[in-house]
This record gives sequence, structure tokens and C-alpha cells, in this order.
Amino acid sequence: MEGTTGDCTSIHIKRSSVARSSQLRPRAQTNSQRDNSASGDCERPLERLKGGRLTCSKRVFWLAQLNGELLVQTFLTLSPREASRASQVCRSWQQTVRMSCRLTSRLELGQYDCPWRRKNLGSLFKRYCSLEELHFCTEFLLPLEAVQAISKAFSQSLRSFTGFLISNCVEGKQVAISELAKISTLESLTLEGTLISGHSLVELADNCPNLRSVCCHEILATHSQLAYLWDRCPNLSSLSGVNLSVHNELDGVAREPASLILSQLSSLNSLGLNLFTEYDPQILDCISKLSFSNLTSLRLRACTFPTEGVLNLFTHCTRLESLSLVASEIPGCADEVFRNLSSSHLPCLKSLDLDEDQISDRGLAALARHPVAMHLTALECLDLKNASRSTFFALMGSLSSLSRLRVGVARNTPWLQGPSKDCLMLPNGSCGEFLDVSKRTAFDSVDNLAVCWCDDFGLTEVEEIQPRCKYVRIGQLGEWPNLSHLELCDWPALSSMDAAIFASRSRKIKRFTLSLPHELSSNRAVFFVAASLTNRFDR
Amino acid sequence: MSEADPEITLETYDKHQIKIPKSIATRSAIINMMIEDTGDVNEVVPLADKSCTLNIMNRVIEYLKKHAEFDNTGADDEVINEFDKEFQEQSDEIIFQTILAANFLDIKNLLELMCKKVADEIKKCKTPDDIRDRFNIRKDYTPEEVEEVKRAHPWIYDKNAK
Repeated sequence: MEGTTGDCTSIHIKRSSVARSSQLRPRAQTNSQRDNSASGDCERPLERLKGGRLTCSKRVFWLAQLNGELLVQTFLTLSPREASRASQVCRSWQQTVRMSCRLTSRLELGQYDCPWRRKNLGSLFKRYCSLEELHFCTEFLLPLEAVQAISKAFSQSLRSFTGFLISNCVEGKQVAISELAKISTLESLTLEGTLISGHSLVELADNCPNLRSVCCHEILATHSQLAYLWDRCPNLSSLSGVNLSVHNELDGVAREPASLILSQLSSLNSLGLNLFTEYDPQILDCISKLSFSNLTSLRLRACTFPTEGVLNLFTHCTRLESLSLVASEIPGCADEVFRNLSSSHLPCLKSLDLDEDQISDRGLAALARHPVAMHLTALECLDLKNASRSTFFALMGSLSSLSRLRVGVARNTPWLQGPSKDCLMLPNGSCGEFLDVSKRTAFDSVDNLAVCWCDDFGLTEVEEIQPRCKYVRIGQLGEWPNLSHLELCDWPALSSMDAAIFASRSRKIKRFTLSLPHELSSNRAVFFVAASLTNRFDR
Repeated sequence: MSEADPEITLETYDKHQIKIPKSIATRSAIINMMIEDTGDVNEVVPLADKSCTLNIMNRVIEYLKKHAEFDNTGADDEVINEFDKEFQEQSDEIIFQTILAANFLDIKNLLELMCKKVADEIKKCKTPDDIRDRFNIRKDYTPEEVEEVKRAHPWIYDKNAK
């Protein structure tokens, strides 16, 4: 269905090629010196009839002439889903896609790219047979059969892996990690949210001598197990999740001074520490005094440190680019730190993670005033329940380099749960990625935080909202008065009610593109939108 | 600087001469090889590929100079990305010719950058039909073959398969 009314309103459904083809530059003169025989599968420039209309004449489709290794190179960055779409285009593209899959060394898989079953992943990995890096970019748990498929396919080749695994034991053998440890070529292992037991760490140390980086939620290993890892993996430069109070977590483990553990880790340039239940002022001193001056990334999780200690640490770790202060046990701990931060602290900081920290309004205001705000490109604050609306938006205003923002909201943050005019926008809309609402269960009740790309502060364009952003309702999009372009992709459940609200409020919509699944209700909603828009402009 | 970095003269395919510093020229592996082969920096380096016209070479050199500057000043990724993004925004013809030139001259970053632009164009297309329209490609599949290609990745077409 395609309809065009008025001078500026067009509604495209499933097909937006007409709008796009205007980007092509018509060919002005005949090309005499170039032979266009590059690709036998592509039509020569000629007049084509599309939908009963003559759409173009004398146009050279330059990109259609790409072939061979250049097309392979082009396909290398496509996701499995996009690659599969491309392989349906024509025979030569199918072969080229197959070739480029074989040459792909790095693959990112999202939740919707492929079911995480042994069979499906097995066939996917047969096509992507020379992967060196595999990243599962979701917060969803990888089942054991998926890990088995991975270790089976890539036991001799994978260098880098990212995913989320869960083991139900904190001690002894962990099946999923034992599977991963079979991949002897591993260099970088990122298991956010995962706990690694001492036994697993030793297993990894035994089988993966090339490890450079291990990043996980928590490592419950004793001093001697860490020493073993250190001994077996000389290249290790990044380690996070190290729990410094293992004796509290595990029975039969003797208390070990934190300085003993830290002294082994002194050559790391990225370090993450967990310290639960206990406060040991020595730790910060240790970090400051040991040769941690190389540290570019520091994560302190569940650590309760005095403000002076943290500030002293900042004075020593001048290269710090990434700082994470998570789950502090003293409310407002990060707060005090920010309010006392001098302008010489943290000169290189680019990424700040205040995940689950209870930062107050005053802390955020202090951060907004600090020079570091200018350079921050990434900010995560998962708990804003103490922040006021004005402070938060003032902060957004001073974060001029921000390109990544991730905000989760506690239930009792009324200013973020109100109507969507409070929606969060990146001040630097042009390079802004998007707001990613935490999928953690604690925030499941938040259903009306908007996810968007935007220009300036007035939203004018929303493109391709993926169904994974389940928190957006199209009805709310209607409340953005400047919205001119909207593209929705595979919208899962578009209700007629939402569509009606949207249609009645989006006064400036010029282009609306929608690709939909087949459900009848969705189609009804689309007709509703289409009808509302055309009616208004006709009038 | 000028002693250590003499000027190299390139001759484009359409017979124009361009002078650029050697340090810039040698960012192309192929020009580097040609200079080393002759061993004489004063010799004109002919660019024999059809894509290497004056227009395209000026763009390629702009890219090389800018990236040399980024490397020397240790520029932020954001600055580099912004330049790259702007550099990508060109007509299809220039994108195509730049890809050919980058391939011929063996400039890996530039080739990847421009190929990525084409990949982005493919990504914008939501269906194989859209891709055929955008790239003007004839569908040479029989209906049976289409089914076969689809069968190779069943979950991609059936949302409920998961």
C-alpha cells in the first residue's frame, strides 16, 4: 500500500525505495570512456517501469557494478539477518554473501539474529566458519547448549567472546565455563553478569594461556588461585570482578589481606574490584601506592570507601578513562566524591558508570559543573530516584560530548514516568546512539520511557525503532510536536488506540514508513494512521 | 621537514599531475611500492587505473592528509568519526569510484570506510525487493530457488520459530 497526498505527506508501507531513489544522482552525460561491463548480473542502466510509472531514465546504478572482492568486503559488515536478505537478491550476491560469511572474523549476535539452539547456532557457525570474535550483545542468558555449540565450532580459533552465562554454584566446577575453557585460543573473555568460581578460573588458566582480559561480574577465587592464573597467563592486562573478601563468601577460606592479592595485580591496566560487606582502608592505599599508574579503567563494586581515599586515588590514577562506582553501600558515597572533585581530577575520563549508585541531586549538580562533564562520552546512571528533573536536564545540557546514555529509573521517579514530554534526549543528537532502558526486572514497570534518536533538543526525526525497545508506545511519539520523519521496523503490537493518539498529535509528520508483521490488528492500526494523516492534509 | 619529506608527483589517469608529500603518498601501499621500485622520488608516478581521475584523487588525497593529521595530533575518535562520516556522504558515482581507487591504491582504511557506506545502503533496505530497486539488480532466481534460500535460514523469516 502506498499513498501520497498533499505536497509533503507521503506514507510508505514496506517500500521506501521511492523516497530513497531521490538520493541517486541522475547521470548527466553518457559515459564514453568507461565500460560498464563490471557485473554481468546487474542490469545495464535502462529505463524501468515501476508500479506503472516511469521512475527513471538514463540513470547509472553505480553501486550495482561492485562485484568480486569489493562486494565481499562490503558484505563483511552485514549482520546475519541482513546477509541473508542480501543473499536473496540474486545468484551472484548469494555466492558472494557465502564467501563473505566464510571470511568474517568478527560477529555480533543479538537476541533476534538467531535462536540460541544448538541446531540453529551450529548451522550459523558452519557458514561463519572462521570467526575469531563472537559477541552476544544482549542481556539475555545464553543456554548451555549454545555455549556447547560455540566451543564445538571454534575450539581452535575463537580469540574473543562476550556473553552472559549463569552457573548455579559459586564453588567448584561450573559446566558452562568449563565448556568455554575448551576454547584454548581465547584471549578476551567478557562475561558481564556472570560469576566465575575459583575452580573455573584455574580451568581457564590451565587451558587458555593467551588470556589477556577477563571481565565478569564476580570472581570468587583465593589468592593462590589468582596467583595460578597470573602464572599461567603472562599476558593478562585486564581483570575485573575480583572479590577481595572471598572468605566471607566461601566456607573454609582463610582471610587474606587485600594487599597480598592486589600486589599480584599491579601490572594490570584495567581492574575491577568487588568488596562486599567489609571495608578495608588499605585497599585504596594499595592501589595508589602500587604501580597502578597505568590504570585506565577502574571498577569499584560494592566498595565502601571514604571520600578522601577515593580522591587520593584519583590523584594517582591520572590516566583513568573509565570509572565505575557501583553498588556503594553508603548512600551518597559517589555524591561526596563528586562534590569534592577538583578540576585537576580525572582529566582523561570518558566513561562514567554510576550503576545502582545512590547519587543525589547535589551530586549530579556537582558533576554537571565539573570540567569532566565536557569530555564524557558515556554515562550510565541506573538509579535516579534522588535526582530532580531540573538537575538532570542541566546535566544533559553540560554533557556536550555525550554519545551514549543509559538510564534506568526506579519506580518512584515521577518526573520520568509522566507524559513523554519528559522523555530523555541526548544533547548531542547528531552522534547520539540511543537511550537504552535497563531490562532488569526491577524496572519492568517502566513502560513509558521513550527511546529515540533526535536532532537538537526538539525531536524531528525518529528512525527505525526496533521492537526490542518495548518501552516505547507509538501513542507517545505523537506528543513530540516537531516529529517529521518516522520509521518503524517490525513493530510488534501496534494498537489502534496508540495509532489514533499518534495520528491526532503528530502535526508535522511528512514521511511515515512502516514495515509490519502480519497480524490483522496491526494492519488495522496502520490504516487508521494512514487515514487520519491523509484526511487532515486533504482538509 | 621538506628534506626528509620530498614531494612526489602523481600522474592521474586523465593526465593531470598532482604533487603531494612523500609521507602522504606512501600511505598508499601501491604508491609506496612504486617509489621504492624506482628509488627516485623525482620520477613521476603514473596511476594506471581508470578510477584514479583528478577529481577522485583529490578526494583520496584529502582523506590521506586528514588522517595523517589525525595520526600526528592523536585526534579523538569522535573527530575522526565525524570527518569519516562526512566523507562518506557522496553520490553513488563518487562512492563507487573511490572504492575502486582505494582498492587499486591499496588504502585499507579508505576501502573499508567506503564499503561500509555501501553496506549501510543495503542495511537501509528492508526487503530483498528494496535492495534490487536500490541497486537495480535483476532477480534471476526461480521461485523454487527463493524457497531454497529461505529454507537455509528458516528462523529469519518466521518470527515465531524461536
